[in-house]
Amino acid sequence: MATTVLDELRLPAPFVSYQCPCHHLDPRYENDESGDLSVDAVTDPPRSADILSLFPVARLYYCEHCHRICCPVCIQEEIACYYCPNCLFEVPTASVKAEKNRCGRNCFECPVCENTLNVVSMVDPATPSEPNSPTATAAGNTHYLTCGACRWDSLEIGMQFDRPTGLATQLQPLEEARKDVQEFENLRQHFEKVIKVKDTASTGPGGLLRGLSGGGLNLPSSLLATIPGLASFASLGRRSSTRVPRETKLERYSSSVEVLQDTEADWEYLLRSGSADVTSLQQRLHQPNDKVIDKKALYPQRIQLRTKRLKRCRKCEHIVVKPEHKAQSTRFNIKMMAMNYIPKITIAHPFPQSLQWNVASRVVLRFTNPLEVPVSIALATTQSLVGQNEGGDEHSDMTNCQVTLLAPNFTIDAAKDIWNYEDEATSDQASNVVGVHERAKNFTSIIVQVTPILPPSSSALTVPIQFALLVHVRPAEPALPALATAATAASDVDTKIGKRSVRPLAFWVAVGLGDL
Amino acid sequence: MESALCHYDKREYIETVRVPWCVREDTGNKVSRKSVICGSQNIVLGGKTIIRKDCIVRGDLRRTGTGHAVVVAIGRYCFLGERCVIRPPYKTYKGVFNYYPMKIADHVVVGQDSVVEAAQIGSYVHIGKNCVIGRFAIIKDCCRILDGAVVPPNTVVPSFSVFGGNPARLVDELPESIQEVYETQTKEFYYDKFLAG
Repeated sequence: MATTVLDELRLPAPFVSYQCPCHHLDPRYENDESGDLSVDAVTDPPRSADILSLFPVARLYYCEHCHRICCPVCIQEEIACYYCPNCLFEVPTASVKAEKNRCGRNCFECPVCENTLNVVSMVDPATPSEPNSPTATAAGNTHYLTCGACRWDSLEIGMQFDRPTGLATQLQPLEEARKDVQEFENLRQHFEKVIKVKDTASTGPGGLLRGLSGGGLNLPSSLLATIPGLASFASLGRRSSTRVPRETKLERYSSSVEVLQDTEADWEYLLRSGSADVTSLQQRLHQPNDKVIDKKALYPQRIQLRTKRLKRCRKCEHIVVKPEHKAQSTRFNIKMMAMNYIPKITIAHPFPQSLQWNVASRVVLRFTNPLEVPVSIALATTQSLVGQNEGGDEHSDMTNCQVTLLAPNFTIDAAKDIWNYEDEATSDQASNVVGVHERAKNFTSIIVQVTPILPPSSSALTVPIQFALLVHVRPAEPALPALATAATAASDVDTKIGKRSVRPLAFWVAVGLGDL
Repeated sequence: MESALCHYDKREYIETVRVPWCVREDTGNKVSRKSVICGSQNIVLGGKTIIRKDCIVRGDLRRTGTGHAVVVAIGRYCFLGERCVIRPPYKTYKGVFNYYPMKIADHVVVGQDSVVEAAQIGSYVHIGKNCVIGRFAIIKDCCRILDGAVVPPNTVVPSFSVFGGNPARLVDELPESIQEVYETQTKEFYYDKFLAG
């Protein structure tokens, strides 16, 4: 469930996606300790196969330590807390494993449609006829689960409860008596023994194997243990030495529970009864312990817990996102999103009326500066770089239109509080620059001429029109505007430079204009 | 891609503080004259809220017995799309049929043709077109309901989730920046995109 880029990237609709530099598996870049993304590091434009390395700006993070963009793929996640998505109660980490990652309270999922189930009573607890008589109702009343979406109820499988609360604990003995649960428990115990013998418990909270080169581990473990930073390596070294002799002692696992196999009778039943009483694949996968075929064998499951996750930059391991611990809180202690560091690019009004093959149309791109300092932008297209669009490599390039940048270099003013914009009418004069559509507040919109070029050998009915842009962001030279504004800008820079200074940054964006 | 400009007829919309049912002093609500607002004395609009034409807001479906009560509370920068229906949830509890109040917080967008019977909708929530939000559903802050989703009654949609399908289930998670994204979107729409004339 981590980060499927769902709605924003089911492309055809117009989009602007940013490419994360992480997809370049370039050793030069990996070793670049200075963190300066020079032009060399990002020379390859996104290719059509790189669709999964493109993200809308809202999904990207920015690591302040190594000054780079991180995408959901190149961050490292740690679970900060577990909570039930239905009752929103936080589950302590210690009891998560015991409760098998599911809610131990009152939350159940419909086995048929996966919706949450409600607890209802057979008799209305306080019908007007017998008010305030808790003894009478408590004795005779039974409760059951019902689904508000598909009308399934637990009476269908004969499941009912004496009390309306603590259903999970009421069901616990029943659940533990199940054969598949027992088998799973036995297997777990067996493999825990195996793990203990092998002692290969995952290292560190992230559980990610970091780039450990084999050479470092040849040192004697006693030496490593004395060096604070390398203590973990010492245990690793010890492990490798103790593993071999103990491994032989393991006994084979023998199943205590008989596993039911599909029989002829089952198949016959299937053929006879038709599909009405047969579970769907989705339902079967949802009850993975015993993949039941008969619908009557489906039973409600406790709702799976969700997590709040802490995110780190994979390169420097600094925290990029740290949510507040409380399950219901939507605030973050640390949140470094790329949106607050790099210019936001949008396709702005007026939109091109209709795109046509081999006809140039105007597209307005708006660059919005989130920083408190003005930045200057330099743009480049694939055509303006050498060595692109040549030979048989044509298909791998995602750009399929001729793009002319009328204003490849421009500046964007700094972001300010909203009331500081009012007395500023001077910004309009800049719109006289060729190719700049509008310049106001903290954004500049520029005009791009786009000519879609029909690929010679395309059989598809519609082709998404898209092109790539290389964006360089640099702090603007304060000499450009009038003297007075320059002075204020300079003072702004002085005060705020410590907070969010502009580092030169280069990245590719893919702009899609829709299908043709 | 930015959302398209939306021009409206100034005569069609009632604006600002003099909206008779605006209890608080917050201003800038724009309510279409072609919408159906029932029981306006029971509806609170937080300000900068737009109700488009052919919307139905049922403030008249209120709890029996008590005197004045807020039935539908809508926060700031909320947009109700064309032809959507906002109706407080009902149930029979202890043998008595009753309507219960509905709370909609700030920066909430309801797409066109959607029917909302939720008990609570948090801030920064986007509900798509043609959705049905079932009775007593609780949608927490920072959520997105995809177009055409059917959220069954009593469902809880936790923060940062994307729900879609029928019945609606979790399909994706939203990024951490979604609060700012939705906030700028709604503000931009109110000031720059929803233009008279």
